[in-house]
Amino acid sequence: MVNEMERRIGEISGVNVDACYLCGKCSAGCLFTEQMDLLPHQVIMYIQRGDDSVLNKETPWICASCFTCSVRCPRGIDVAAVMEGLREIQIRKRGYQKLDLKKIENLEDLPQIAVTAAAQKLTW
Amino acid sequence: MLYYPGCSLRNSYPEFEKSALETCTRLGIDLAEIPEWNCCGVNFSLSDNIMRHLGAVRTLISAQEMPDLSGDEKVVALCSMCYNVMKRVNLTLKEDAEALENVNLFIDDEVDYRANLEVIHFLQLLRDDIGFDHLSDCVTVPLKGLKIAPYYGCALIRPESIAIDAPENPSIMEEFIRSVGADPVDYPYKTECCGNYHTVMRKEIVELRSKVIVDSAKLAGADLVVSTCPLCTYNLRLGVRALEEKTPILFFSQILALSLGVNPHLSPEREKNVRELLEGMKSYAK
Amino acid sequence: MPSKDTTTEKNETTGNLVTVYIMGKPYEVPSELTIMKAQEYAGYRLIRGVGCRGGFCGACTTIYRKREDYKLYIDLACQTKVEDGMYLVQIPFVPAEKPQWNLEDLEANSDSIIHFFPEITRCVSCNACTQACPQNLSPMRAIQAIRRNDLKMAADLSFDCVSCGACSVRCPAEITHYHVFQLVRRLVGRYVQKRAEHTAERVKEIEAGEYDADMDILVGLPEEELKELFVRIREGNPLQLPEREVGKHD
Repeated sequence: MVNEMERRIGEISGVNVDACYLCGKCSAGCLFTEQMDLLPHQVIMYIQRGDDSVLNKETPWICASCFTCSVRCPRGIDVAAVMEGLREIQIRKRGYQKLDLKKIENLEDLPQIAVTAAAQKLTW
Repeated sequence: MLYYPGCSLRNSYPEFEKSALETCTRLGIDLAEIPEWNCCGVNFSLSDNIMRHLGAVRTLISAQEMPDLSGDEKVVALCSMCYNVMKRVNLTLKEDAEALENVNLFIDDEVDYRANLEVIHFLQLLRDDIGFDHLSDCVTVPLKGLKIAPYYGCALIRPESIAIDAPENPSIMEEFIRSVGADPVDYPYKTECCGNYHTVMRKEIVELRSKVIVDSAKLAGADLVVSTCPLCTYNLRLGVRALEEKTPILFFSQILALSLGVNPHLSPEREKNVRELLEGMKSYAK
Repeated sequence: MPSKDTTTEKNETTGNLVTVYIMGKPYEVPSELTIMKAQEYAGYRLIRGVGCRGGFCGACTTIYRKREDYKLYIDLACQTKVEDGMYLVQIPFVPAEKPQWNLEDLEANSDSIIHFFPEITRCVSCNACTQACPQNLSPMRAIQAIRRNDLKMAADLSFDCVSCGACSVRCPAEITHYHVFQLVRRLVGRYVQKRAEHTAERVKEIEAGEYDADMDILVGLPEEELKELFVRIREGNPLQLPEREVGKHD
């Protein structure tokens, strides 16, 4: 049976996380695991178990949407989209934002592409 | 050919656009800028929220409504991030009739998007429409002996559905570098992510990533690194600074401009390094 | 310019009454009235959300729905006639902090604007602002023009903005368009637009005393003559000062 976490992730990102057999290839290729508190395949595992504590992990916010995992997944799972799903669940909550635009330190120095990317991913 | 510049080419990095447009004039490529184009949103939204795609769709509608089109025009982007988003949005609308209908219903203040445009990157234009062989015939100042490390990053080659070349082992930038007479440098990090928007809030992540990338290119013997994205360029330059060295990070269009003998629009603070490099080359010395 | 005509200013009524709901309470008001006049007819004394009464100041932004209509309308109360079944609410202003900037320290580019208003990078081109604008402007096009570093276009597109804030109420990106547009227009006025050279010339002429004699004549005119002269000039006639001896008035 599909649990609530799987259903919500499926709804937002269109990904069926049940297809994952936890081979760990996504985690092996991920460039940002050093900064993560949960490996990408573990994130999938949490969702499969219906454990919503995954929402409070840093990993989805460390994912930079580089799609290395998505390209390499033997089961065709768009892992980057799963991470986006987790971010969206949080961001859609009333008052939630990961980035305060008024607290960007080096705003003068940043090109618009950087500010826009961060604002679009982390504020809503 | 319809042209989508993108925000950072009009603000932080005018040299990217200016050098590219000058090479177009030289190569006889006619680019018509899409009127009143909108911000693409930078990262393609992977959620079910169609609102995140509206900027790209409005731009595509604006392109579709340009006068005297044959109906199956191509939209060319210079910034690889813009390419990625525009291409993915366009592909979604081409493949998903329901998504197209929903977007068109939402945008009830404009004509419907008919999803018959094609989005390509400037490198594809060079490869498929001009041809790298023909391009090398046009080169007047071959960049002989210059060792250039191509930096692909993510947006050109991932995900697979929009990749302009093989995602795991691309060669289009190497072919491009060869066609301008320079030597491409192979290094293991050419397709690794620079850290994207973490540069805004978690700069240390970006520094870590870009240091590894620049260092690897340098170890492989690169004189300079070329990029296709303003954000990658910004991030790689952070890496160069963190390493306290001087490897120039240039846009691919600037290399092309140099080889065609048109203005590469090198920015003053970086010009010195590149000029020194060029003076060391035979073709420039004479 | 006010976007709607003000034909409802006439005082004659046909005797037709319509029902409008102000803050949830129904009132019978003559159908010829504007929303603002209907409120006053209903006994409200307006001390906020009212200003020029001519469609210029943007103080009387009113949000309403109509009977059997899901759409949320936004208009200026002084410019819109009541309709039967209108549910009305007025927003005296839209909360927004206006950042402090010194024009002389800024450059005319979009990065200057993003420095004060980084939220404009959140614009997703949804166009809700345009649908809300009682002036029939397109705030979205203006915001996107800023993103393209085309400040001139942004200033032109927002020229008729009355700062009513209707766009900012609807914006999902929480942009305060009217503050953004004010900065854009200031930047364009200061750095982009051609300087008005004839103004500088005229200032020089005044400083050189070229108009001192005419001024003396004007100061010496009796009030009635001055009024006549004012009316003649206002009607488009060239300034023709009556011949007088300077200094005769004292």
